[in-house]
Amino acid sequence: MKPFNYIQANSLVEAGAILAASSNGAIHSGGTDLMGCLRDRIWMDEVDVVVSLSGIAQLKYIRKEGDAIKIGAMTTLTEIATSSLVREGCLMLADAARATASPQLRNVGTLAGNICQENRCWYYRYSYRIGGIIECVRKGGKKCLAVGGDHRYHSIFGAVKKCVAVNPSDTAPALVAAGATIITTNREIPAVEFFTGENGKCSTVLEAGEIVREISVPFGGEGTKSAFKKVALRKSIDFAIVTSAASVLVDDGVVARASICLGGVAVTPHPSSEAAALLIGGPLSDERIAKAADAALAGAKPLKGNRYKVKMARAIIADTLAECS
Amino acid sequence: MSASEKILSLTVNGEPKRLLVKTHWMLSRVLREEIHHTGTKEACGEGACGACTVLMGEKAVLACMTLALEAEGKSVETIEGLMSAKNPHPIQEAWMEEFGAQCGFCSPGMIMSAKALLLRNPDPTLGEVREAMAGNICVCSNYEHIEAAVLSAARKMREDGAQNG
Amino acid sequence: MANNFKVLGKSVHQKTALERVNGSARYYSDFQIPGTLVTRFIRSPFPKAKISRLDTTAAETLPGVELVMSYKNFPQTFRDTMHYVGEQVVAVVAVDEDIAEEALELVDVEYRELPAVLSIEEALAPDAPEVFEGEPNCHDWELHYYLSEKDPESGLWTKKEHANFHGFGDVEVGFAESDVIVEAKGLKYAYTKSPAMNPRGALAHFNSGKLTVYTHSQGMHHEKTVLAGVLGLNVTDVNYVCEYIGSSFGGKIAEPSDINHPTHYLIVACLASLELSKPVRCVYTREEEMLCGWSRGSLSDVKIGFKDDGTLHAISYDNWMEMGSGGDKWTIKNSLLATGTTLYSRNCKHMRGKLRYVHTNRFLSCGWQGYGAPEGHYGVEVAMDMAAEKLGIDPIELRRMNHMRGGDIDAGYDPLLYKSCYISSSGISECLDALEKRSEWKSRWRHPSEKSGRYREGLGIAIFCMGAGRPGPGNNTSAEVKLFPDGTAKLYSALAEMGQGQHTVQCQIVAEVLGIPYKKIGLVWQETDSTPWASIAASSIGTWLQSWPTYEAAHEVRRQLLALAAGVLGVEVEKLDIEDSVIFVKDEPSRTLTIGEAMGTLGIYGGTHELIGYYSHEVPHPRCLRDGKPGQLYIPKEKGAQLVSLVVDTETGMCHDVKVINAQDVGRALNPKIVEGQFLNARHGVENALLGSDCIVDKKSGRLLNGNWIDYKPTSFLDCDIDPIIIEKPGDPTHPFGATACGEGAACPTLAAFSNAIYNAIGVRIKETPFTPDKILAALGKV
Ligand SMILES: Cc1cc2nc3c(=O)[nH]c(=O)nc-3n(C[C@H](O)[C@H](O)[C@H](O)COP(=O)(O)OP(=O)(O)OC[C@H]3O[C@@H](n4cnc5c(N)ncnc54)[C@H](O)[C@@H]3O)c2cc1C
Ligand code: SF4
Ligand code: FES
Ligand code: FES
Repeated sequence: MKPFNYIQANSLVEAGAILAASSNGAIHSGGTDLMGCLRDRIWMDEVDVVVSLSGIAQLKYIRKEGDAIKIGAMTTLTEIATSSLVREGCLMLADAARATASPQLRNVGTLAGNICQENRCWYYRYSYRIGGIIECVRKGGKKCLAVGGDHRYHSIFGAVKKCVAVNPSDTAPALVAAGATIITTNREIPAVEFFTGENGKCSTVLEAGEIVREISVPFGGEGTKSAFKKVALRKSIDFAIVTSAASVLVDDGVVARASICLGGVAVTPHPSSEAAALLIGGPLSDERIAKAADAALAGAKPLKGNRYKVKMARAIIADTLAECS
Repeated sequence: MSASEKILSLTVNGEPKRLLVKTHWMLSRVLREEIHHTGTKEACGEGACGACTVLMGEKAVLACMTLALEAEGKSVETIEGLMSAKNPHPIQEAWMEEFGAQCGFCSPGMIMSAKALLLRNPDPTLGEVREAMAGNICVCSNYEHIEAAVLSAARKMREDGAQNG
Repeated sequence: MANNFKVLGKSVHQKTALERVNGSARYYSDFQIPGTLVTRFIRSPFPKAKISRLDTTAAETLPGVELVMSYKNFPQTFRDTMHYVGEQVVAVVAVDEDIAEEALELVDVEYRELPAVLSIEEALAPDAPEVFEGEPNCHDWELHYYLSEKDPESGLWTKKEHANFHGFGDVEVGFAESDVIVEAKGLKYAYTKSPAMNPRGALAHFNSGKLTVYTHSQGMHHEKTVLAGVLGLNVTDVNYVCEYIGSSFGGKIAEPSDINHPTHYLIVACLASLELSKPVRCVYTREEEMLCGWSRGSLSDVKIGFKDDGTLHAISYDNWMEMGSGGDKWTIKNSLLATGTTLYSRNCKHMRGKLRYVHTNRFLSCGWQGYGAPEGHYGVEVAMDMAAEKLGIDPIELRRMNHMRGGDIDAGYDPLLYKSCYISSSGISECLDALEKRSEWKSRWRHPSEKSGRYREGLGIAIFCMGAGRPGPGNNTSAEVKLFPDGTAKLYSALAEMGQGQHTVQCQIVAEVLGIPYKKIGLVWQETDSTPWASIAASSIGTWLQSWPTYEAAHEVRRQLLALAAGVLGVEVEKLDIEDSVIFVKDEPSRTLTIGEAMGTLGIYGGTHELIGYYSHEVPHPRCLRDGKPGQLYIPKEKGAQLVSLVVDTETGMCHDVKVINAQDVGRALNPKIVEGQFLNARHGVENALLGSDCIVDKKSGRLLNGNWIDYKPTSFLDCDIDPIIIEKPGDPTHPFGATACGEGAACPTLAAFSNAIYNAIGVRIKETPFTPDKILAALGKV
């Protein structure tokens, strides 16, 4: 690990100022992703200062405000997974948090950190120790090594700026399916617009120095049911091959509202409004679920080595919807 | 003191410590190399095995993923803090009885995870034990014995608690 | 001694249990010496390359750097040609890790890339580049023997001739005589990694002419002796300290004399310490461990011929073992264990085993946990399942008909010394019975054709036998026991304790023989300076090998003690016994002596202060010979059966509700909890089967993509259940108390059992491990 300066900020304003004054500062929430990146020195530019938000107690809360659950950026995944408010108002988010990483990582890993985390492409994450880091397109290099190499865990919905690394966040699809809003020091961003592959190494639309302060999640009212599913090789401490989150409001036996989002399948979380639309206006029957699941994968463009993910994703989106009935 | 060094004050196993650390040092390094508590192990250094688990307050955290300075002002408990006046803690006793350690390299981290669990849930089910311990890897794959040890420790601690209370 | 043991057979606490649970157990990385220097490496970015330029001057002059090592100054450990991504190019030894890392960046190195081969298939291709110049990539095993003559009376083979395969009879004739023939071709055992919780490393301290090495070892006396030779030091000037190992499973055995062996952490630390006369630490990170730790993988073809009634008649077995760029070729011999030489020796009349090892530009492969046996079992036990289907015989029944029994001939051989020997005991039938019952096999097992729907249950079985018994030369091992007047005794034993429980069991033996409580037995094991020679604890032979010297040394003390007591009591030695530390006259139990009274210790003047027993065991112990006849050797083998049950989700390709039942005949379970713990090791097979265990290498760059514990996944608490069933069949002659072995066995049959269970669920055979969802979905025709 390269030496860097470390500062605990007392407020977001102070954190912003430190970042602005640095040449390449990094925000540290739980640090569970950041420390891995620094340890393996996967980035081309060195981080000169790490700004920790862990001293800002005011960023740690889960509360209900009107029709929304407001979650402070520093709220940990454990807190979200066990919050009765979140379980009641957005079960898929609580379950996504619970399915993330491991108990110890969830104890410090935050929701903000989870949605801002770096991708897990094994070329991108390759440690400098064993022959030096790999400079792929996402780091400003010329080529994506995964497309012509081993991409079994990569995108089945094509590349963004030639990169096919998937967004690895487990909570991201739940937030997108929930229609959450990400509130930063500068603006409010709908979750569905928050993730991007356009922004170089960063997997979000955040600008330099911009900090997530809160995540606002609509409270699913009476009749709304949501569910989250994750497929990973190992049942703990493992990134997903595919995840899916869905929320359905059934009114009088008829689907009135539905939203579906897949994770681990594309450069960003992958919602499918077409699939959701197919569900609306009828019962949540197996048959209609199957149609919706097909629709959610209709646009898939898998690579040679990851066609299985299409099948897998289709199956678990259907399972997730079935669980909403 | 340069920008890359800072004073860290924390409590380790009840003892206040004040020491000069490099800003990029991890808690595991400081515990092992600076405070010489080598009971905390490092097996992966990347957050994926739990060998370095310690308690920060009452929470199990990974010392290999925690910057030392994140422990500023905090109270840290390591495996060395578990023995009281020569007597093993009930979790340690249970570990010995149920053969929770094969090579023993995962044991300190496992035991700290078990302690964190039993602090918040004194009567866990087998399923709860598994979920709570699932961030700890035992390469000797001694899981059935470890589960038995955690359940037996829970029993002991409840009984002890009932006696003392 | 009668069967009513006082200490043996009981799950007494592990000897060093407290140290292991309170953080005081010292693994090599826990030794701290002020002023210790640290080591960091530059590792090759290319699978094959020649260093075209190397300038280390800038690094050398960086303050805090004490030594820069490369092929230029340390040619015995560094080379100018790299054979795999990650091979060490340069090591920097410096006062701290930041300076060492900074220095690495100051090294000016350029490479000329050379063509490489990254898999067995590539290495075998007609115009494949050579891994080692001037050497073919594929080698025939040099110790293939044809067993041509048998002694009619003993049944043992008496003549062996060099051949281009190993075996007996004539397989062509054997297949011609067979009614049913099955062939399993192209079975691929992925290149998997040896598990070790504590990554390897060493701390070397050369001081005042003496070198102390703190490391991990499965055979510290052997390693130390070789190391002293390599370093040009007197054996007496090297002390090897290995208090706790942090798990090894064979993968940490060091061979300091061989540059192709992954022992560089040791040599680098020692050479640097000798050069600088300072303590030097060389500790691998998990990524380095993933690269430098041992691997294994192979391709195999199996053909088995049967009579109509299911009697196995002939086996032909071909194995191509990947060795990477160096490694240990001996591993390959164990792949024969599952064939007609041993596991199916009962009925197999014609056997042909052809072994080859193949070099690739990957990190090294060596034997770990099963030492080649899991690969052989994978091929043979899959073929046996295919045969059961073809013959219309229940898979358990087919094995029952054909597996080895006690007294059968083991022609799986030790190539150096013996042509064949006797299998001392089997117990596989009992294991199969136990599995059949525990799994409710009879009511649950159904043919795949009867299964439908999304979720399909599968049951799969495989039997196994593993090493346990290495009669070759050099396997002498020793122990010393001291008894003190206060009734305590100390065992001096260098046998490695990796978590397998040997320390505990050996102390139990001392307690049993001396008639004193287990708690009164102390143990000295930590270093070579204070222990007598013990052989390498490998091939699951710890029990078989070390129990004899412990037993004999304890008996020697017992004899001395009773002789003293006999003098005090004025009775004959034969009339005396010891129980609970009390010496008594058997016919007059009221006449007793304490150990102190027998030893008569009064103080500095007079009395006996310690009784010492020492025994050096030349393998084989006379009691391991049939009727005491030289050359007629019994070998115990580790043996048993394993059953895997699972549910395949045919939509996602995932396996759920995974359960492994491992039943094993251990002769006698000297400490049942420890034995159970060994069976839990079947989980490594689960990892290799389902959790994607494979060293995934980028086909273009040769880089290991999953060289860490996030992408390469040891099993967690949640992935499966293991149900251990201990079978005891006392009476095995090869051990003083009838115990046989348990260790690596549980990992041998698992991949075959998984393959069979998945086949049983979906009716399609997947030939390559691991059985990940992509392969299962492909097998189902869904992708
Ligand atoms: C072994 C292991 C397994 C894991 N498994 C999973 C898994 O299964 N699923 C999963 O989703 N994740 C997984 N993770 C990834 C990750 O560590 C966690 O998901 C965690 O939630 C990240 O949160 P953090 O607070 O620790 O983030 P940090 O490491 O603090 O931050 C992550 C990134 O986000 C940036 N950032 C942090 N906070 C903010 C903010 N408020 N505003 C703007 N930017 C910010 C940081 O600069 C950094 O680049 C795993 C990690 C490890 C080491
Ligand atoms: S997928 Fe993206 S991150 Fe991975 S190698 Fe390609 S460009 Fe780099
Ligand atoms: S060493 Fe910290 S999690 Fe593995
Ligand atoms: S006891 Fe060896 S890793 Fe758990």
